[in-house]
Amino acid sequence: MSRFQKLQHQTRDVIHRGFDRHIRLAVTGLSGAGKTALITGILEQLLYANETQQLPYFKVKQQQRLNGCRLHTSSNWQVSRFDYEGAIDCLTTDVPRWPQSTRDVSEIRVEIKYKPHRGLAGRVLDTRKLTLDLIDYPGEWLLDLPLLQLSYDEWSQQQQRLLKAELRHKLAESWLTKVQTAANAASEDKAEQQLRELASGYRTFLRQCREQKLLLLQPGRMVLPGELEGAPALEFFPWPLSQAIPDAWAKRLREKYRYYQQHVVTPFYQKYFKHFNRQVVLVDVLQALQNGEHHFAELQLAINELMKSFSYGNNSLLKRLMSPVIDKVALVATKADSIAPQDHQKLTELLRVMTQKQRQELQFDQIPHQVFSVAGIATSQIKKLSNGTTVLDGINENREFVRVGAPEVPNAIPTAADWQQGYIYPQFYPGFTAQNSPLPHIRLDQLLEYVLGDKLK
Amino acid sequence: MSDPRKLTYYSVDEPAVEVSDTDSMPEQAGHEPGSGQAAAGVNSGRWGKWLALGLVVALTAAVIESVLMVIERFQQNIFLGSLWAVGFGVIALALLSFMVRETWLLQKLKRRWKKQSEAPKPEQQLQLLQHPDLEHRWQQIKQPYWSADEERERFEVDVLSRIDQQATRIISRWAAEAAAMVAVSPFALLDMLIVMWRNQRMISRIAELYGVKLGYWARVRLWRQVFANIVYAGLSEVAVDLGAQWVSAELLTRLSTRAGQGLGAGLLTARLGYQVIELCRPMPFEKVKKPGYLKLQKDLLSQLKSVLPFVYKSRQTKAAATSEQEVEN
Ligand SMILES: Nc1nc2c(ncn2[C@@H]2O[C@H](COP(=O)(O)OP(=O)(O)OP(=O)(O)O)[C@@H](O)[C@H]2O)c(=O)[nH]1
Ligand SMILES: [Mg+2]
Repeated sequence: MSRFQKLQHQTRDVIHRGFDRHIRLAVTGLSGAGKTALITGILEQLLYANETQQLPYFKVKQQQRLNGCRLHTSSNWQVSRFDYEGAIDCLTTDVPRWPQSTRDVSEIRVEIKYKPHRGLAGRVLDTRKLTLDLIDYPGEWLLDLPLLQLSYDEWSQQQQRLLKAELRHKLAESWLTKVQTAANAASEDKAEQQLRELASGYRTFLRQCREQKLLLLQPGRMVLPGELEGAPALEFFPWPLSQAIPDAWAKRLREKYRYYQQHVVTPFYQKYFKHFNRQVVLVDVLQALQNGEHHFAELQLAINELMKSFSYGNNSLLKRLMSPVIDKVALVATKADSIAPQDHQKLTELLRVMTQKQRQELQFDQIPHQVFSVAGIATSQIKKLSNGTTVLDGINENREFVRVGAPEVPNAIPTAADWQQGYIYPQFYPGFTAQNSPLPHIRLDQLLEYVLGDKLK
Repeated sequence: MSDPRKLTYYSVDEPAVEVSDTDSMPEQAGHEPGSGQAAAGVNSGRWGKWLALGLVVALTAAVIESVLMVIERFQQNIFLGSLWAVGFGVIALALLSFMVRETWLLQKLKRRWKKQSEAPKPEQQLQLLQHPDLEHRWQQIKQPYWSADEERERFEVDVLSRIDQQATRIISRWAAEAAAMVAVSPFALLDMLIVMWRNQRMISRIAELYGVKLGYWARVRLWRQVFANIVYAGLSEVAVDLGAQWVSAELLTRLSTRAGQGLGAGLLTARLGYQVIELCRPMPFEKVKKPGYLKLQKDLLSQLKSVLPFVYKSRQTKAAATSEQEVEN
């Protein structure tokens, strides 16, 4: 492709953005929250919108104004395309499985062609286009964004606070003693070597945390390095001790941290995250409930940190062109297919309570937001036994067909006694064939209507 | 259910049905009673009781009288007596079945009004509506994961609104007809009465659409409710109507008397019709907008224009003499 063509492509994007015909949707969520599944579900529903009865809440479809949707490569040609076909293949092969955890950034563009409903456009144009950009990325990297706003010392303090928690402290114990002994013997000429070893120890610790399903793991590239595997840029760690950093190390650690901020996180942010104008925040509430009190608290903290990294506001024309901000947010509890329908309301309510602080801030800034419970790909069937028990039919990890009694969902943030009891939720596997198209979902139509509806009038 | 830390597994061979109606959440409280309820308290009261008592006494007297008469005839002539007896028997039977049917239909209407305010489930509503095609459609769009509220919303927007649309179309037609009729007639007042009488048919049609069968008393009851609503409960609505028509108030002053009368008859007919919709609908209007007068007014005016040569005042005086002739053609 020639430079000229590329320029043309990008100019068109700017024009579209100016006319407000371009949505860059930030699908935000930690690793395992269900980003890939949700994006796949959204694409699936959009592409097959006119062949399904599953989208009654999606008005443009319901009013029969949707001409169709088509996939495109994004204007950012250095980024690989989101492998929608691959994901669908995974879900519908002979032995269906979930798509793998994402390892790299990918992007996809959908063009939605529709008939305008009213207003001047309705009279003048017979069809219109809305461009939707979706970006998939490893959830681990998302947690790097909050680092942009923290200095090394602030970050270290935050991490020290986290390390006080029981589970983390236990995992970090051996590393902490190593840091302690090395710090006592810190010297200028051995500094490089010592730091490299300690950084590698920190990385082991992060990996262990991840195995224990802890969520707030920073820096994200240490958990999933991508192309940075073994690079010196990763040779740092937060200062974990209350004593001061040895002089020989302080400068080096701060420098590495700053380098990481400027050369790893900033480009990532600039390239993918800066131009978002709508956001879907995915939260895997059920998994956190199952993992226990500590994880639940950490999830709340992580959401809090994350949402600070995005700028919210109203998109005036000038802002749309220069640096768009997010003007609508959907807070979404995922995997709603693992509980009974009558509990969806509770799940939504729970997420509402969990994100109270963030919602208040959005409210204050007058950013429209709403809470949903959704499944991007619904893998269970809801049935009722003759005695009235609600059960979920699905496929378990051993590819057996199972029937599970609807698990309990708490009404409010669990109390200490509730945590004692604990919660558990079924993990269903997909069991689709190529005939199941479009794949079933839960409430994606409401989500789509909320996120896109106002631009499809 | 015993240990929350363990999932309860059930045998997959046990018969289980697809969930067709999810249990509603307990928060589902009864909501605002529909306008059907609005004037239900307006009752005949004391007078009604006396009247009923009088009627019962008179009726008993009539029955005794006729029995006595038949017995007397029997004594005179067996043949004539039995003829009378058969005659009376048939009449009594007919009356009885009529009464039973009437009370049944009336009870049904009343029960419906009661239900209307109790947030009925779509399946219950479908039963009331008796539209097999809509039932089919509902089965198609219904998602098992919906909550009771979502179900109601989808049902109203995707299914019930279709009937609303048909009903609105009927109303438009009848309103336009009424408007034209009154506008061209030399005896507007008389025609107004005829129109009201003819509106019976419209009401039956609308009621039928919503699956309501009207007997005589049910019809009377409906009319009473309609008027009661227009007079009592409709006050706030009148205000809304005025608001909606506020733009065209200035237009009204410009209309010729004829056109004005026509428009009035049309609007009144429509008002009746909309009331009937609200009374016959199995649930109150929630997510679907109530049918409005604004568009209707436009329809009516264009209809009037097609039958009246002069809709507006300014030219009416000039053409007053000729207008009647033209109308006759
Ligand atoms: N039952 C159910 N499980 C889901 C759904 N979406 C995701 N999951 C489960 O969650 C796991 C992670 O989902 P992904 O979509 O890969 O999550 P992700 O956010 O892309 O995670 P990363 O790629 O690691 O950042 C899947 O392997 C599924 O087991 C859903 O809609 N229903
Ligand atoms: Mg992924």
